[in-house]
Amino acid sequence: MTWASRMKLTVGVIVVVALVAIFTVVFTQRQSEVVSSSASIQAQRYEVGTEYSGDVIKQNVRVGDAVKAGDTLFEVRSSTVAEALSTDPARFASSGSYTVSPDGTMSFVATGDGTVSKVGAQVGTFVPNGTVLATIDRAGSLFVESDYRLTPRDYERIERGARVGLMLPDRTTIPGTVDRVTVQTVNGVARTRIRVVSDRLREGARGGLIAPGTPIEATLSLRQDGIFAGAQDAVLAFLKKIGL
Amino acid sequence: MIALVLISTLGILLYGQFLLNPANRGDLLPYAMVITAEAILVVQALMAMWTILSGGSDPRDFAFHQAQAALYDRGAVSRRGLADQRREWPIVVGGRRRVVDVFVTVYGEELEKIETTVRAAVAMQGEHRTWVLDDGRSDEVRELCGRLGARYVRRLSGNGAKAGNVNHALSLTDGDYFAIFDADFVPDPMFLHETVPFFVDERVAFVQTPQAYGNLRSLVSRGAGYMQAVFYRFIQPGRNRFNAAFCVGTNVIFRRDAIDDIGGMFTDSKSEDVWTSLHLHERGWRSVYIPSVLAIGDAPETIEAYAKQQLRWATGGFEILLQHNPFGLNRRLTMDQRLQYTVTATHYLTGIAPLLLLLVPPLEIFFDLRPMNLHISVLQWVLFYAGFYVMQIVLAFYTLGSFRYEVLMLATVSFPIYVKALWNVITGKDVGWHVTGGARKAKSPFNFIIPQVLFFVFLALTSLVAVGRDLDNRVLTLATLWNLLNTLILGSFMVVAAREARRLRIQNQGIGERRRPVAAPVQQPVRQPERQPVSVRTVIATPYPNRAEEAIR
Repeated sequence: MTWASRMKLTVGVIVVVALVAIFTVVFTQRQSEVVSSSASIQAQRYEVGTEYSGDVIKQNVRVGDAVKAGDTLFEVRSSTVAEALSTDPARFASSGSYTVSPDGTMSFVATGDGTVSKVGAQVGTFVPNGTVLATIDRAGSLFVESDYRLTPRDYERIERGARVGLMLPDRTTIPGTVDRVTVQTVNGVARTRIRVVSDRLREGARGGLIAPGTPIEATLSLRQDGIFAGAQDAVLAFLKKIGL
Repeated sequence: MIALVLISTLGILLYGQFLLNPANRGDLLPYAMVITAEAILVVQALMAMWTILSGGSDPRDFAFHQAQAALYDRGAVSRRGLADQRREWPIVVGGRRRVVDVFVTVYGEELEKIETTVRAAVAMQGEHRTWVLDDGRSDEVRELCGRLGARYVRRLSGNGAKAGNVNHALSLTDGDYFAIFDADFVPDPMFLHETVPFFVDERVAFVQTPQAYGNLRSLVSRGAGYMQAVFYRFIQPGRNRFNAAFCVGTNVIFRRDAIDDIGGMFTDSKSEDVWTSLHLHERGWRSVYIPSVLAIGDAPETIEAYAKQQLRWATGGFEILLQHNPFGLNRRLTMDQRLQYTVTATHYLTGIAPLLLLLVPPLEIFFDLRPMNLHISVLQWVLFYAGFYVMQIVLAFYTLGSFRYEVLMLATVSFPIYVKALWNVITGKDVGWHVTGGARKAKSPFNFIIPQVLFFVFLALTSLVAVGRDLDNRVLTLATLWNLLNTLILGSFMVVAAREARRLRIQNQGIGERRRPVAAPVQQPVRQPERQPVSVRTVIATPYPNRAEEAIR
């Protein structure tokens, strides 16, 4: 071979090997990740309801209002309560979610910090007993619920505490970890439902995008045990080290 | 034969229906690649079948046989006492004495080879003048011509390569007809006897005979030779029916008036032969192709020679496609001729199609991009492939007597040559002129197949990744199998190249000059009809692969 050809061949082989290495990293990356078929931000919530029927005489909160523990949400005047008070005044002393005044008015208070997500009554209306007056998303309790269609082999590779990338609608990604894994079958298809927690899920952050109900894309990292895993980690660590 | 072609067509249609079914469509990129490649292959295959089916007729009509019977001036033969000297028999066509010139174009070939050819050219039956057109400017060749009784022409410039060489000779000669032979094509004594009578039809511009090869020793020359056997045995006779058979530069005889009519041989291309034919057809001249082997030559023996030959031909084809579209409005061609020339011009795209197909499995392995939908099972794939490829192999088996792995291998690995040809035509880059089988010190074949080597490395590494993945997932995928197969085919070509490199090294060192080529055991077909058992019943046998097959042995 001529020296020019030798040079061409050598350079070509190096380029090809580099290309294959890059492709392999891409490929291994893809092998070790799975994207959710659907995912959204959820929150723990609690409901405030009345045990007795009565008239709503005051409404202090609307949907979206932030509340603190102890804030009064609604006042409901109930003749049943007034009547019961007259016979047994000690009866209502121990309730945590409302206080009762002597004229039979119940003041419902928030039992924890949070945001009002639903209101079930208006001022001037009558509410029967058992009515839910307000639903409140507990502050600091946001999590992500994501659904995946996984093969049994991929299912086996999910680890508690594994990394999950949560991509918000504005295409920024925040990290999260796997909290709980459940499987349910819907229309004959087994869906893996994963609950993801993250300390970066703070209500109202990112211009209000982080809020219960926001659809997101959750990319789950699976345990790597292929023969390329070691090399892959080495390459990624190297890239990270040199600042790429 | 016809039934086989019809069944093949059916296979092609089923395969096409499978590919185009929207339900089977996969990811866009690989799907587009597969569809493009297969469309080229399928259209070319269908056109080839159309041409093959058209090729049943014999171009020798009554006028030909009459002219052949009266070809020699018997009176002059007996008057001058030439009965024993057949090469002096004066030729008569259409009642007039005709002068025939025979050109042997030489450009640095081995002296031995030139001698054999010139000797055979001089010895052909019928009166003719033999001219050796030497662009290699060798004094040895001049002496040789003196010895053998041929005229020697050497020109001062090298303009226009072979076509320029012939045009220069035409300015020195005045024959009515002129035959052209490359220095490595040894003509049969009956060449003129079989071709000249066609000129009794005043519209015939040239008579082309096949290129047959006598040197099918190496894997490369066998592959290249068999590839062309289909062309000369089936395609050209079919084209002949549409008056679209084209000249292949050697083993051909022209009418001088026809070439004068188009202003000489076409010199602006390395594929002057096809271009000259195209210009003749546009001027309304007739061409004749006869499938009788009347000259035997050398197929490219080394990868270098093969690569350069293919590059030249492919360049010619793409030139016609891009610079002289046969469907242009101002072309005076019949619809059949337009179609046939378009097939020629696009034929080498089929050489690029394997590139697209080679890239499909890596796309799936690395990026999970699939040409076909996931719900297609492996078996379905195989079945549909069978429809297309198995029929192709059966067809090859039937037409050539056997399916040749060499052909498949060369077809798979030649794509860089055709890509380069296409690129050269698009950018207008000129490539050097090259003789098939020149006699200089041979260079290692790896100089010419760097893209193939790189592709092999790429596919081999991809196969490793694919096998690793499949072991990991405990599922064997079709992409892996496909990729492994491609790797093997390219790998076998690497082996061929390595063997050739070793052989050339030994040759260049001058050791073992008498050794047989390492890669090439000569396989002589064993045929012993006389030992067949005598049968009392009638035996109906399929016709044994005949003339063309014999010729390429």
